[in-house]
Amino acid sequence: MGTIACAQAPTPAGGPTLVVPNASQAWLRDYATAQAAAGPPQAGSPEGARLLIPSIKMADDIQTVSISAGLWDLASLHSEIGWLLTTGNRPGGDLAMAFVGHVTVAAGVRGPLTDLWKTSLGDEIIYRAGGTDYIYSIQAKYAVQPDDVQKLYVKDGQRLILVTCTDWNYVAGRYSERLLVQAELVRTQPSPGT
Amino acid sequence: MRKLISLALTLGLLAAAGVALWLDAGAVAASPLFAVTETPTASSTPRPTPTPSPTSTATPTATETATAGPRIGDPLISKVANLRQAGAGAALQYMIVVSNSNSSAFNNVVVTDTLPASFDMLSATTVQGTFLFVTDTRILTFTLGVMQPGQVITIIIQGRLNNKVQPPNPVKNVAIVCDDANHCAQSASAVTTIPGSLPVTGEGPGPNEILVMVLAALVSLVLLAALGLGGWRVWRRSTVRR
Repeated sequence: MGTIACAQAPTPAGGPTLVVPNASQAWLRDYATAQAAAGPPQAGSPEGARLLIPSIKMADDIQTVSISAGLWDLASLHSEIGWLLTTGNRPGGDLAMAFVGHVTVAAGVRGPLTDLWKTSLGDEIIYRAGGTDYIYSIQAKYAVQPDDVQKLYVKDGQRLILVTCTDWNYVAGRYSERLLVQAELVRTQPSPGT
Repeated sequence: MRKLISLALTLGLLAAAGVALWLDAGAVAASPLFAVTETPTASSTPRPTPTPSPTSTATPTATETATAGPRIGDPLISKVANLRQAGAGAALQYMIVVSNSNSSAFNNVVVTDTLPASFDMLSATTVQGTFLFVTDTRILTFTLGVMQPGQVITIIIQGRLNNKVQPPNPVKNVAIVCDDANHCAQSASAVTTIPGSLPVTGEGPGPNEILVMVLAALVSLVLLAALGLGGWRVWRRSTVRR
């Protein structure tokens, strides 16, 4: 079948009007409405910001974890905290920001999130950027399977997610699960010294 | 003489009284002791409407041919995906909605959608018309026929992302609708691709895990030693009895 030649009219200003007549497709209606309301993805990243967890005495700089060969590339991440590319890039954005940190940087050598499992609900996580402290309170902590990537994409810019490895498998010699900690923004304040 | 003087005085008094009466007329009217009901005066007679002055006739311009019937706009189309982020293996569903907001019909309406290489279509449905997918070109064509004024047609495409996704490059897709009078419109959707697994953040066992392994090794050694000692004693007794 040959290509159908059509005069391709430009999309009207403001985008096409969405008409969703079928009530059973409510999820698409809601998504399309949200998509129309949301602007283009925000530029920038948390690169250069800082993450602090006072309850486990953790304070580290943030760097971007890019994607290479279809996987997040942690080759350059050691004792820093990594911001996962494609997740939320700022507090209050469309998506929650997701950060990763090593549980160990070598056999027997602690990483920045070695003690993440020791945190409790209500503990504070501080995201420090641009002279402002965004203070989050831990709301949930649970283990997930390594392929449960969608858990990182929370459509709530008021939330923040931390992920690290957990559940060392002595037989297989690797971590079989990932520990996810989800926190919610409770307040902001000027960073100390600003 | 006296008569003249008295006559003059009388006339003067009469004149003075007349003036006084004339001056007091207003005061008497305003005095509460003398309520005077004003009778309404007749309304003013309406002015005659002026005859309009003749306007100058405009210079006739070139005659415009009036279009017969209403103005035709393009059909409306929108395309959305059920996920904003998805990785290889994720089930993805597109919904295309085509509508005719005009007061006249669109004839021979066709929707074409060139599916991206990283999307494997599993099924497609449309409430009106038929569809055809050409594997070589990856062009999915919906032949919808006539769209009446106000009609809305919904198309669903279901599939799955395959290993050709290249995170974080988005999977883009454009659907185009046209009728036989070249009224066309298009709608694009983009799905951000994401890795298929969470990052590996452990470069080996932690201190606690190593401690567990060391303790387990020690316990194993002790057990082995105990078994060995016990076995040696059993053997020793058996040789002594002989």
